[in-house]
Amino acid sequence: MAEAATQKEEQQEKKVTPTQQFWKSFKKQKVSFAAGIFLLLLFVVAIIGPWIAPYGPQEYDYDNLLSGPSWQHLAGTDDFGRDIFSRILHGAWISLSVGLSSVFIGALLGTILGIISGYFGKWVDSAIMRVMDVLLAFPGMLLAIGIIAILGPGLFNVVMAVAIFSVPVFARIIRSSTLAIKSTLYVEATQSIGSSHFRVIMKHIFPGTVSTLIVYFTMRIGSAILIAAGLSFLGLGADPSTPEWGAMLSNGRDYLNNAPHVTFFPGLAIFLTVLAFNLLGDGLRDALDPKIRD
Amino acid sequence: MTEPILSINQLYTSFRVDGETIPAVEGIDLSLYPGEIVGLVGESGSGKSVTSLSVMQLLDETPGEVTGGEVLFQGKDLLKFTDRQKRKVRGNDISMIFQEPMTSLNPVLKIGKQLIEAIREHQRISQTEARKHAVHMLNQVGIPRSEEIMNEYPHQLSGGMRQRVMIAMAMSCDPKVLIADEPTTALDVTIQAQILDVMRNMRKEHNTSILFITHDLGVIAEMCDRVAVMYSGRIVEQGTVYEIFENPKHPYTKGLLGSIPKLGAKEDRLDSIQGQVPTVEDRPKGCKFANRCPFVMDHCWEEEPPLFDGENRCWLHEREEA
Amino acid sequence: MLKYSVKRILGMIPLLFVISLIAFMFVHLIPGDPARLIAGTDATIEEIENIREKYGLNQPLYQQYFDYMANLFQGDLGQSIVTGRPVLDMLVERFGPTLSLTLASMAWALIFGLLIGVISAVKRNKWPDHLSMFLAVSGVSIPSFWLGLMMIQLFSVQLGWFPTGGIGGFETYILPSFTLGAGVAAIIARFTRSSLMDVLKEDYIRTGRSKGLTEFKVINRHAVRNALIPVVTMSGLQFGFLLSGSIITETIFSWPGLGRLLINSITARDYPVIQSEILLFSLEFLLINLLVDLLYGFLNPKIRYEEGS
Repeated sequence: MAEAATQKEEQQEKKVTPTQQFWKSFKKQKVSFAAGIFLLLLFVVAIIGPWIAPYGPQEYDYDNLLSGPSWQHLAGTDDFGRDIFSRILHGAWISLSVGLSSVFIGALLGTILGIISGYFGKWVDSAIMRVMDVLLAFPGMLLAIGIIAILGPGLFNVVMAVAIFSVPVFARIIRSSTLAIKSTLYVEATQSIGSSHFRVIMKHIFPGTVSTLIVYFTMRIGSAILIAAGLSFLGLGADPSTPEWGAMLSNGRDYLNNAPHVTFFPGLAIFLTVLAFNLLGDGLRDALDPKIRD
Repeated sequence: MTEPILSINQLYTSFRVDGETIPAVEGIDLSLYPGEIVGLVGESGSGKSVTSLSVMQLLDETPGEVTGGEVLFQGKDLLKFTDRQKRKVRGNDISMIFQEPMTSLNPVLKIGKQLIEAIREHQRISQTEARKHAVHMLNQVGIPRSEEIMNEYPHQLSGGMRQRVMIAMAMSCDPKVLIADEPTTALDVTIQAQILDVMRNMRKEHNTSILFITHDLGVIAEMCDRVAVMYSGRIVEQGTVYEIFENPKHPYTKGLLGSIPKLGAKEDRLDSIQGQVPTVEDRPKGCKFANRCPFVMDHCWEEEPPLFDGENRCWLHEREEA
Repeated sequence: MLKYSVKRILGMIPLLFVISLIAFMFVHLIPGDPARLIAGTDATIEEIENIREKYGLNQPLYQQYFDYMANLFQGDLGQSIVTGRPVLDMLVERFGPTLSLTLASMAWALIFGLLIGVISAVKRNKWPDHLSMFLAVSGVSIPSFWLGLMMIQLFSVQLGWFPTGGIGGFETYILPSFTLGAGVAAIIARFTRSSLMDVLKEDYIRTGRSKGLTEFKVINRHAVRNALIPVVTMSGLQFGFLLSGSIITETIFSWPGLGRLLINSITARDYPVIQSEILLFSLEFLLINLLVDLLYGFLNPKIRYEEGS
């Protein structure tokens, strides 16, 4: 139909490097771009939070229990008179590091399994993928709760639980990109000149999976944060006294009738953070992986 | 001569891609007389499918848009019709069959349902009558066990059978014009011949005019009364099949004809046109064929040739004009 | 179709085995002595020995597994440590509320998800599409516990329209099912949109238009039906998401279902109950997957006819 048009596009693509190409199409996704900037700011806040927060996370103010938002306490105070805004700033680090570390562990294991599975094939592949299928058949939340039931409550165990259910997602997607790369000529050529498996994997297979990895990594962080906060909300995650957002929200439940701000602000923080990760993930996917574009 | 049933006058169609406008069809004039089969031939990217979609007004779902000209059907400009009027023409007065019989039928609906739907869209008749008519149409296009086929799904039929179904569907409202966009390209040679037969029969029985789009000159020679050759969004030459095959004037037509193997002639290799259809931005300023033309002159690069004698666009024939 | 169904059902058997094994192993995977775990924290040594004897925990593992399976088939899932009641009874009475909540959530998730998805695809890249898709991303990003609590605050506490929790008449379902279904509605909307957009590119859509059908008929008769096949499959799988989501929703709305029982049991370390819940949830997922597969086969004439006849 519009052969002329596609030919033209191809010509333009030839003139720019993949990175420039990525920037060009990513900058077009205005919402995702904004989400990226928001997250960048959030990371800065997470790091310098303890210094910029007006109050300490455990600073009690018994004269102001459950008081609503004011200039003194931007997001109000909780049942111990602790400043909610300051606690959210302190908690940013917890939520982000739980999300990042759990997905990182999951992605690391998943990528290793996926590459092994796709690269070596045969029984190794079927064995790994069978296990992954079983894991994948269960929704993340339930799997995480099951793992917590075995390991016991606690933030570290939450990280482990979320990591474990991220593994099959990465294993599957990386396996299929590995298969695609493996079938290309240059990998066959490298194998035929006798390069070691390890070398072929590190030099040729892994770099080819990176863009897919980045997209899925970003998209998983959102759900990881959500599930971690959910577990804390259920009392299976962070210790109730820590300024973890889910735990803060859980504390506020009892005061929902007269002090809804205690639950509102931590929830809003979770929502915006997860939303930003999801929007960024969508934008990255569109910019990096035209195959799965709508 | 009688009035043409369909005439395309100075049609311009272009595509909008990333904010840029890319012309696909640039000023086409083509007429179709009652009962006539006209071939529209050209390489891929020459704009022949876009022309057919422009006539059918099926560009809405593509980035394409008609930007100028008129498409007169029985003297009325289709481009000025309201959506409702356009729908009354589509499938009723002008219908279309496509290149891919495998994907042109809806996989989850029974053949019968798809035929009846086409019939009842334009004719106020009962379900039973429509069904009877559908079976009749299937018989007409040579489908055996037509009653059973009505209750089957597209995937149960072969490509040739599906294309017959498409023809039956397109002809079911007895249209004045049938546009066939590469209807045999995706089929085996033996099946091709059968489908062409079916179409010729249809023309004979319904006196339908057919606009036959193809890149295959062999099919043109077999089917058509007249031919228009398209290149880079323009018609570069047109005439009767006899004229074009016996005495091609435009170097592009000559090139196309030279690339068909001739029976009996001992040739080491086929002639072929050098190079490729230029992309929009690489199109020469003058004659669009200049960069591939074996007879190219300086003048060709400067100015685009008009249609001499209303039949060919080449500066070589300027003298005859004068 | 029959061959297809039998194949699918037979394919479940190895998974059933794995699941029973996981449920069985659960008590053994927890660090510490299983007998002590089942007996509870303040059990005497004698009591622990009794438990060991009663549950056959002094037997070799494979023997224990056979016994466990034998009991399972007789409907004996053990007793709750906390209440002392048979676990099976507890599960049975909790099953109904969870099922009805899940179905209610799925019903409205499907209605909204499909509607938003279709509008989005038809009006693609125009403002209704952008708005719908922003809502959809928000839907998957919003913490359900926050959404639920905020709705309680607004609709129950402030406006007094709905009860804050508990199960009862129609009005008690509205807030919980909305909370639980929001994420799934968002997922269905996104999926419907992309599925429908793929279908709208198909040749048979152009055929439909070339017949002179109205755009409504083209979308309704030709596009949506085809687009629905993958959507139905995907939505069915979302039942799993709903079941796990019900854990949080039931906790928020004091809903007497399986999810809340699971959380209570985990907090109380009621291991026999946790063990059976894991088994039950797993079986439910398997069953859902199976039903979805069968439904997919039924919707797709290619599978319904070719393999059946």
